[in-house]
Amino acid sequence: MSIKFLFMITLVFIILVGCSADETLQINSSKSEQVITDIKTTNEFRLLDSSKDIIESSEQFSQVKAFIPDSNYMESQNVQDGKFSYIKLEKNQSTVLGKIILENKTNNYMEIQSFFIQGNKIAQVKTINSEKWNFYVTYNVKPNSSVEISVEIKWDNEGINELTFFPLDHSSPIDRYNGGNLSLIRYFVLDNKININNTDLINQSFNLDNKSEISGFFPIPSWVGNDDKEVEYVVEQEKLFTKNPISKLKLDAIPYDTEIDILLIDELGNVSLMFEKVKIKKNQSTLIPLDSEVLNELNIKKYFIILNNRGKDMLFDMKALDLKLKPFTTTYQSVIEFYMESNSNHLSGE
Amino acid sequence: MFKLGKITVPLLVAGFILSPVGGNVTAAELENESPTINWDDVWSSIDSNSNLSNSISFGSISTGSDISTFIWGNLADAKTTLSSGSGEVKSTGITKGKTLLTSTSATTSLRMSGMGIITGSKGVALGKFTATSEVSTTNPSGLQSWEGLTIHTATDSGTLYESKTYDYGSY
Repeated sequence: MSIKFLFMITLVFIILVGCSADETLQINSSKSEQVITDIKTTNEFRLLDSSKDIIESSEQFSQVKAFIPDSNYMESQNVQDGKFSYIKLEKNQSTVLGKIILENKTNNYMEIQSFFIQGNKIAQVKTINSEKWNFYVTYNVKPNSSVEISVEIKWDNEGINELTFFPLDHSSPIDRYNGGNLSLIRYFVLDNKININNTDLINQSFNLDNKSEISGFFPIPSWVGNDDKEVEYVVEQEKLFTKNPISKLKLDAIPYDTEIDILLIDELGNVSLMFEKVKIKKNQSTLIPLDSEVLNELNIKKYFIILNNRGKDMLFDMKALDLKLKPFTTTYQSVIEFYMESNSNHLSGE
Repeated sequence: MFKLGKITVPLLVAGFILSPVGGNVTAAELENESPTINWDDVWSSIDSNSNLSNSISFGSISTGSDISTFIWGNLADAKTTLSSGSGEVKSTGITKGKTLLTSTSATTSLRMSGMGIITGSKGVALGKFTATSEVSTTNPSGLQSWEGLTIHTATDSGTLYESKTYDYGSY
């Protein structure tokens, strides 16, 4: 009962703060001419239609969430038969221009809250003709329609040279952010001179130990309890809870060594760096204990972001792949939502 | 899970191939204001010791036989399939990419009407490998309605693709 009340208060709070902090929430109903030039809705599905070149499937993909930087800033390098695209900025450039493209070929609304993160910090964003900077842009895409939102993102020349796009989907199934689904787009950003030396590539190279079978490509995250087993889930009022409390983050075993950083982001756009350079040893899963102080602060919806190959290492990874010093790309980014313990379960256990 | 088939890994010892070359500071020292990547030294060092083979066959599924054991029907389908047998209900979801840098994923969950959710294994794959996710549970006695839902995602060049597939049945 009290939890329910808390949820409602939290929800109201989020909505209030969202509205005051982010005028673009009003995008749909706004008649402002400025806004209209920044927002283009169509009934075309340009990116979805091209997906058949990328993914083999009998069933067409039905939704797209993309951030496509302005073509003036885009460069690419060939990596074997593929193409590695990255953002190139002029020296001292303080913003990145581009389009958030959302395509929704379903019969339901698709509500997307778009965050941009430079390195470990939220990057503020605004529609191009607007004056107010925000922590996110939210748009509710009508069924069977697409939208292109022209945005400008603040860029810090002193910061880490990568830009992460997190299109948080509020209209997705409750276990959408369970760690196994791809959820982020991360760009390497070239904003200064970079010299690549051999050590950079040696650090990125690895071999498969002559094994023909590997357990996985990436350190996929899951939640485990005190017994180090994956927690079980229950659904209550269409929300996902865990049956037993989460105590650790588990990362699947991978056939190479790497280092990961973990960020925490909430739905207001507060981002913090929780873990830095956690060593992942090949062929064994990794358990990262969460201390109780951290857990106690997770009282509103929060998402853990798992990243390796930060900044320039994304480029080194691609070069090492192109030179066949590694069998596949090891650059990985994923999101796992922190799920609360079911209250009813907790009570019955007392 | 992911079988590399007859992949050959002709990578020589990286330290040998990448034997040290002179400093990297060349053109970069001239006052070139525009951000650049200085690749040249890397290329020359590789070329001068060129023993790298082109025969690596990553990305090809030569037989597919190990993967197809998971799958009912066509390998290339992005779909959810619900089935039952030996007292179990099983749901499987698959997604498959086409190009080297495409990542794909499939996560499947299983739900008995009116009950909690059971999440399955999480499949993430690269390139032409198939991301497979599977979940199964013991079927309690009596006819029950089951639902399997798979979320499929793929990323490629700044774009995140997504779809959901669904299957249901009474077992």
